Amino acid sequence: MTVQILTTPVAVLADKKDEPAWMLDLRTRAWRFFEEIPWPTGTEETWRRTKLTGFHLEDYTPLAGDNPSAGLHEETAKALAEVESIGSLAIEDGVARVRELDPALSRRGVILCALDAAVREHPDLVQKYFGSVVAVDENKFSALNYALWNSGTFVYVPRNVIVDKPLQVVIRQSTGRSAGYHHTIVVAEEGAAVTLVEDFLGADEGMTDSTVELIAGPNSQLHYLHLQNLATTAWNFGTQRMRLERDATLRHFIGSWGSRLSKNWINMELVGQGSTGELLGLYFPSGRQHLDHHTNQLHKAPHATSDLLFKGALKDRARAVYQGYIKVYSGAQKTNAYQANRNLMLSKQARADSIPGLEIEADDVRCTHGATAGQIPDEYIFYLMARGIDRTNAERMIVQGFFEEVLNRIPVEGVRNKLETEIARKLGL
Amino acid sequence: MPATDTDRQALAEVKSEYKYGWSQPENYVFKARKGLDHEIIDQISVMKGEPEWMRKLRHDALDIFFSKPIPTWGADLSGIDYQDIYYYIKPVETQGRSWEDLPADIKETFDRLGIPEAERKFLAGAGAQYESEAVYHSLKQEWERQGVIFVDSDTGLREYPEIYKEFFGTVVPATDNVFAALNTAAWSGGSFVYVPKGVHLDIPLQAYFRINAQSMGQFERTLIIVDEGASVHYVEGCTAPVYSTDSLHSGVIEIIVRKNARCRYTTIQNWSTNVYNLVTQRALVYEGGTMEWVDANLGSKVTMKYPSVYMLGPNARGQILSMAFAGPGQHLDTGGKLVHAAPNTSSQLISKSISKGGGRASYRGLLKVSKGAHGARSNVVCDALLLDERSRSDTYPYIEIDEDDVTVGHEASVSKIGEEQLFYLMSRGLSEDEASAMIVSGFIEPMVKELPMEYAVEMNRLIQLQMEGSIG
Repeated sequence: MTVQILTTPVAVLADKKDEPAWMLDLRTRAWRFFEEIPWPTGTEETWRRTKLTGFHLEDYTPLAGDNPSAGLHEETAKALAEVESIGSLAIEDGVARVRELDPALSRRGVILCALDAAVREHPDLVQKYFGSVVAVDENKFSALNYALWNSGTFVYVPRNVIVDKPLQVVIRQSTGRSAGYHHTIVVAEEGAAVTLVEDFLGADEGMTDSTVELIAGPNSQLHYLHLQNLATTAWNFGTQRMRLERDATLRHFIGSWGSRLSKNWINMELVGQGSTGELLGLYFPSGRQHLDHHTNQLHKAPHATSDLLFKGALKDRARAVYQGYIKVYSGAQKTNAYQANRNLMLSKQARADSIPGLEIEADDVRCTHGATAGQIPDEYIFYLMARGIDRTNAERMIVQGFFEEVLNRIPVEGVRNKLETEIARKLGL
Repeated sequence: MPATDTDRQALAEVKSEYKYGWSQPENYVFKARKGLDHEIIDQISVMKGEPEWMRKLRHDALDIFFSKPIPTWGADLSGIDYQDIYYYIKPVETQGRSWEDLPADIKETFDRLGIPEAERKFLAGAGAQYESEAVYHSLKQEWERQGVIFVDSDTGLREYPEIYKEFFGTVVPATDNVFAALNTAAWSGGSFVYVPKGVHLDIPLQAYFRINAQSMGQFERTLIIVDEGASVHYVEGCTAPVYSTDSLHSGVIEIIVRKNARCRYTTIQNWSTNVYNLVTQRALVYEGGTMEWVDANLGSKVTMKYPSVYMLGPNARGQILSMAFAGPGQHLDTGGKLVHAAPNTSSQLISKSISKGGGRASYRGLLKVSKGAHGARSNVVCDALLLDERSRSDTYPYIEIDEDDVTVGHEASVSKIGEEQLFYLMSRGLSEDEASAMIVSGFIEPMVKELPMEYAVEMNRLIQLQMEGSIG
């Protein structure tokens, strides 16, 4: 690591003098962890299939947050228009540009704002939840995010408040070789309900390293949709962790379309009895894109259910890596856990690795997992062509049908439409 | 070298815990000192009167062993002290023990398992009085007539040096993994089998046919070559528990299945629960050939074993049936590897594991389709049964697909014995133990039915024994 990156936290800390002391301490501590955790060499189990060849962290300058362009970028505006929301936030290069929330929700105590604003406006709430789900030292990139975060989302829904339409955040990063460290916190208190769509755009030749912390309180309902639509020149790292308390329902979706390389850790912790979690994923790498998803379904309480479905299609010389575990801890009886990964190979040069794992320490459980890979069966094409549909359209219909199983479970119509458009675009239509 | 007090104490503890095992008195003609270095390796090679190339291979392998880290991704291997092990013990020519000398409880175990008399005597170390020597002799004549070679590895190297030089270490090179390196450096015992073109052996070759067999050696090394169009079934091990004073067993099995040939290799592993069993088993299969591994693991403290099939020619087939029964204190990390490296190859893997009394059974497997292996088909199914809440089951399947024209799938499930199933059987008058044993037997049935009949019968009895008193 060069001198430049070593001086960065000093610069960041100097720049954040207005932050509370606990936050500065946390940044300093995180930086120490970042320095202690070795840089991945490619021999670690989690990095064996995703190499960081050609990536040099010191080449990327953290967003300074002081260079906003005159108006909202058209991509940001377009993304905002795609989802019918009841509150929205747009963050460009770390600076909040749009902040809207239905006044009725504001009055009931719902918060939707950039994380830096939340630190100023709701310091106690942020202090309570920031770092409460993703450990500072969970991995090298989460440590880096905690040390350098320069963009963020804070959503808070008080007890028994139902937000019946989606909240939306668009995060766009425009400048050259910049590094965006976005940190998201969503809290649904007991009995609350909320849906948040986060859409990541741009990033140019830069990198993004995001952290997402989701807290689903007792009997709450939380839907979180993470759309990664970065430029295919950007590097993407993400650590997401969610905590499900008693009887909570959480649905998590990740749609990975962009970036040249993406490494995602998605961890669901079921700590409350009777909680139900869903993890959905769609990915469609093309060209030389490399998309890696690493999931954990961690059953720490009895009577909880988790259901994972990750589906991907691969084109050209693309690579996809899926590695996931169901872990049932001792005492988590009556667990139901499912995990499925399906890959559709659309090219001979594409490569898909799938590693679905189970670690079970309780006996009264039902756990199954499955993984498949294959191409479009000739019979399917034949069937459709025999009905007058040409080959290209037949293939498109089949690929769309393949994704449909996940799309149907996405609770926001605007997001479904957007994904369908993206699938069509990937198919070259 | 006399055993120290701690050795004796440790041994006594193991023996007392191990109700079906027994140990043999030390009676060796040569025993190298403990530890592992180039001098010991030299001694082994000289004792065996090996050719220079093998001696050099051993030394090179030892350097590889020292240079590689011990894997940490699987079972806990930190308990092995590589310098506290005898790497070579030359056994006495004939083992002078008789059936009558055996402790009563062991005879009883054999009775309950229903092990045939001849096999019992072999297991009892009474091989020299093996009554079916005549049977063995006639089999031997038959094999010779057909040109089949079936000897121990040391004899193989001595009598067929050109074959050994050509094939030894080509399927599992010393560089493959740290334990393959260790085995290459210290190997001793095992079998050499060659089946000529077009020869079909109807009767399985069983390691215990060989009277002064060293097939249960610590670092056994087996080489099997099945020539074009030939077929063979090789059976290693036995259902009865085998007591071993050696804390580390690390075998290497190399198999070459030529065009349209067929090989089945059956292992029934039942070491006593003080043994680390770290084995590399691999088969290269050429055009139209079939390799089948039937791998049952019941014993040992730790087992790490992933029989693999590399399908190198078009239309080659691979099948792995894996079973693990992990009891108290055991971690059985087993599975298999299926590598499709040629078009239209097909494979299947079925894994059944049972964990009981705090035992841990892990399935670890690789399914790989290389570029160019179009039309590959594979299906992997893993089922695990957990018998109590202290036990643990893991599944770590690795699937790597480099081709589009493939059909591959993996499925796994983990469950406990269904209360409805128990209720059904108990309502028909079976005790809970009997009902559980019956359900477990049914669970492993797809695997057991692939065993030779006498082994299948024994396996079912053994499962019943293991299941006694396990519920409640």
